Amino acid sequence: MPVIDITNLTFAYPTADKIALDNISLQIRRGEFVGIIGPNNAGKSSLFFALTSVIPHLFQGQMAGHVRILDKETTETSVSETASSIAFVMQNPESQLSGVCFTVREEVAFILENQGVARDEMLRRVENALSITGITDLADRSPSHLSGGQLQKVVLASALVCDAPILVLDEPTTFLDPMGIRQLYDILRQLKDAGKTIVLADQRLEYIAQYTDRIIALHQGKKVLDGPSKEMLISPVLQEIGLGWTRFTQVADLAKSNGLWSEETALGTTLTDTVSGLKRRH
Amino acid sequence: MRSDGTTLYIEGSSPLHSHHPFGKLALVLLTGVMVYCAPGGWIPDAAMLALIIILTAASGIFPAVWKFALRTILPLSLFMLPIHGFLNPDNHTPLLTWQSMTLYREGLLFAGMILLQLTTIITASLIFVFTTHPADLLSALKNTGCPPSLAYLFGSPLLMLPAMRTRINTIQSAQRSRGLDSDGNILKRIRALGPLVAPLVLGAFSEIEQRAIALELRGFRSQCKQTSLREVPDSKTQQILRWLMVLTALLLLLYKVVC
Repeated sequence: MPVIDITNLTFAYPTADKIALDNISLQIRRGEFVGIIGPNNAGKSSLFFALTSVIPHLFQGQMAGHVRILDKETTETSVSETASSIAFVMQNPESQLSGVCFTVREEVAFILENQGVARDEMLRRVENALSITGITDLADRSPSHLSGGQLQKVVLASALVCDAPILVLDEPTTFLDPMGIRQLYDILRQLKDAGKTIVLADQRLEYIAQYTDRIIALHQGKKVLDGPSKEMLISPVLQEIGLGWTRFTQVADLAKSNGLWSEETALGTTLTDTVSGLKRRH
Repeated sequence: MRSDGTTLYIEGSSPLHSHHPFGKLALVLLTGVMVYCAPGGWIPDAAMLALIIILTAASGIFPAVWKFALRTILPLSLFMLPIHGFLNPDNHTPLLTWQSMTLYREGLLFAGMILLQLTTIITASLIFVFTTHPADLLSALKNTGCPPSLAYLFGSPLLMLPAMRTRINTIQSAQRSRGLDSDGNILKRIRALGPLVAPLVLGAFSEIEQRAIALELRGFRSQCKQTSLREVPDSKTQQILRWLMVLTALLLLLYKVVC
């Protein structure tokens, strides 16, 4: 049974003149790591708002279709209730701070305080989340004095602390440096190995291709691609929707046209990795 | 915990620092009521001020409290003492005459009394501000079952200030790089306000929406009984002490109304 089950989802914001999500259907199984790609305004954030029941509870536009999370219809569960099943990391970490916590430790504990978790249990889970995200040394710092990359990790720790089975991340690498991006994806891989279901939107195809099991591409609110990551990377559809012009996808295309492409092994995340990988293979 | 520049809290381990925030609030309440309602003229005010001096000295915040308080009281004194000394309608005992102006005893005493009352209230409030971390106050409020929105109302302005300051600087730099002249005479500055304030307000609106979603997703309106990571120590003695202070304040108010 899928943990996320979307059927014919269509949504339009009240003030917008076009549809944000257009008849989308998809199922995501437990433990899958799914990458959502698409150009700006493709509907990625709207899809995430629908998964977390922000749509239709907080954004009340015209909605049709069904979204079921762990077999519960999102129209029938509040945002707070859905939050115990899905942890959501939004694009801008600064706007996700609670605004009432004076240290990183308190910020991470905020959701647990709201859920009424006992203090000892709260401390254990907070320290664990800080350790997973590698920010234990920031625990006593004020969140308002951290860099964008550090804040992104605080927000990720705040999402992990509630131990929800599904983790949804909307372009979480925006404020991270190259080292931070790799660290984030490594953390996500560990979480996937630990059994979490992860849905992530990102523009960095090289990471998406290497780390995720499956890619779903959105364009103008429609689902235009859905399949195993290694196959999707060389799909001509990526060119059509304006995502195929990265150095990485061009290398993948070139590798395919020269008979060097192997679907068993993804290309590396850097050109050097890719060339060494291809050399090893041939 | 160290103050991070967003609050006036001064780190310390004195009994006053570890005293429950409500106890210190009760002291502020009692001080405010005592200076205006207690019988005996200046004596209870001076007694309270003496107690405050002892408390600030014992908790290591004496220099900070008095530096802050004097910055408020001294300019006020410079105006109040001469104004009342020369012009108070109850003046009738001359102390000093210079040319056509006479300084009177009654006016000086009146101004001195007002300044004593103000000093006592300000320093009592500063004891609370300098020895209570806002997070402790928020936790104490939460522990009483106070609605999270009320705690949010107290806490968020303190934490929004640095972010707001950073955003103002960014907008100012961006607008200056596009030729906006925000220096110079008052007219120029007023004209420059529009391009600075509009993006700030619009940006704040957009962030409010995202923050509201984030809070909702983090269970802010959850119906559960909230718990708190931060422990605010309290004891039976402290509870009795603060209720005694509140009771005394009420009795003084009653005295003021009846007598």
